[in-house]
Amino acid sequence: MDILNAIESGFTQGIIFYPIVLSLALSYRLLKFPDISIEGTFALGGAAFGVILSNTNSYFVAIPAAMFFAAIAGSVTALLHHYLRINKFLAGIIVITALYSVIVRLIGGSNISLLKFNLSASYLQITYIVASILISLIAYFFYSSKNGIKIRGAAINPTLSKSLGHNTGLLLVIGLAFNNALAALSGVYFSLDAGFSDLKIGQGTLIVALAALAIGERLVPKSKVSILLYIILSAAVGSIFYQILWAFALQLNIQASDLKILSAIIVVTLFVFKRRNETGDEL
Amino acid sequence: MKLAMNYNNTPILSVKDLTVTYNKYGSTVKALDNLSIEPIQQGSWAFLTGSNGSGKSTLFKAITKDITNYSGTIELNGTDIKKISSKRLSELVFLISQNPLACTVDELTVWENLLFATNGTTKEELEESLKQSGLLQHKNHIAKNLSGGQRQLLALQIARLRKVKLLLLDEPFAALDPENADKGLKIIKELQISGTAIFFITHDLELISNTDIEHKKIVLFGNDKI
Repeated sequence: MDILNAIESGFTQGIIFYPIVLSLALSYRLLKFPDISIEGTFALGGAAFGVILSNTNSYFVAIPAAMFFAAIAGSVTALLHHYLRINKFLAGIIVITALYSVIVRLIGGSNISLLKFNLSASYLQITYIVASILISLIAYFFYSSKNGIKIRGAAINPTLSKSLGHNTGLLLVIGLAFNNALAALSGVYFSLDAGFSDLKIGQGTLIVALAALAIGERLVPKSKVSILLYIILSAAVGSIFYQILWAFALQLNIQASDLKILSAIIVVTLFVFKRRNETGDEL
Repeated sequence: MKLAMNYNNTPILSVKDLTVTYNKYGSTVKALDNLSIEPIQQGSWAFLTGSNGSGKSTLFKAITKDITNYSGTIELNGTDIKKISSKRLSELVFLISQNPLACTVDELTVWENLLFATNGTTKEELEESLKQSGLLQHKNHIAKNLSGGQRQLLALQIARLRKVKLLLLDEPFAALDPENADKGLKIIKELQISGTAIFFITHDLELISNTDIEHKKIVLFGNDKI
């Protein structure tokens, strides 16, 4: 087994999936909104990025545009839940389903190749790391600002938020838009790394993100840092650690398709273990 | 039925011919039947007491517009509350219920809870309010880790910092020990002195008789209705 190779490739994959793990962690843990639409916005991010890059040849247009479209999709999840009173999970399922059609329309075929934009692996790795540090800082300062605190409060206790005169619906929309834009960034990273984008790249990303978060939450000491920092660190550490484990598993010739069930087992085991250790916490 | 309360000048709240009905198992139940309360003035204190189910909390829900399907009128600061926007209502009224979880946000720290619920307050004002309620050392603790009593004190500080005209208290001390209840009462008295009208639901007759304040009035809800 090539340990160094497994660590290196696991680290790179960990950085690629970090934004979607962070997106899940911010929605699920910080806003108490289990937003499953991120699986769709991950794919939307990759597809929109691929199409726009192919047409404009500009990363500076394609990346923000992909994140913007994902933010719109995240807003729809929030609107469905807040204004139409649709259950959080159901709102996510509806958005994922709708995004399937959107992505097919967007790509106009089964996939879109990005091989002509062949960037060197080391350049991409450095870009991913710098961008990941940047989004961590943005997420930290965004959610610890006065408006970020209002978003968190509105998502957790909407009744109180409303009685304080806040526009609770708008605050939730902003929160989920921000978080889904992060998920799209992961889709962009993934498409760049893989050299293509298609409809299926999002499949299974939710369980990967959940497993990574579950691992991260076990590794980062909760009592030492603020809840926001704990969530961001858990997402980062969990994403990298999980992908390194995945890389080792692949070197042991475990089939990639079997890793999904391993991820599911990891999520259940770690979350149940967490619940038994921390009274009152839900899964 | 009419209840007379003679306070000083500026009226904050008046309730006229308020009837609230709701459907229960197919039949119509009157939660409040033609209730009228003469104006509650600025800086006054009214205790509201009576049996369970007599409509006390329903009255509060109507004042905060959680219930909008009623007949009669509720006026706040001289304006029918149906014509007051939610934002304006939130500037005039704050409700603290008996549930300590309702008026604070679990996952925010004590400090963040104050930032969440107040506008235009300085850091010094926030620190002073925490010092006053003995919560300064818990500034960076999340509200979930506070006791029920501490959370109610935090909610009272939020009401104080928001400078509301009317504070509705629905058995806020039900889960508090005597020490925290005393602290809470002190904050409420300060609010009253600064001009806030206090409307306080309680079953604690001792609290009513022992509360040494000016302009104290008692509204008694009967066994069934007012």
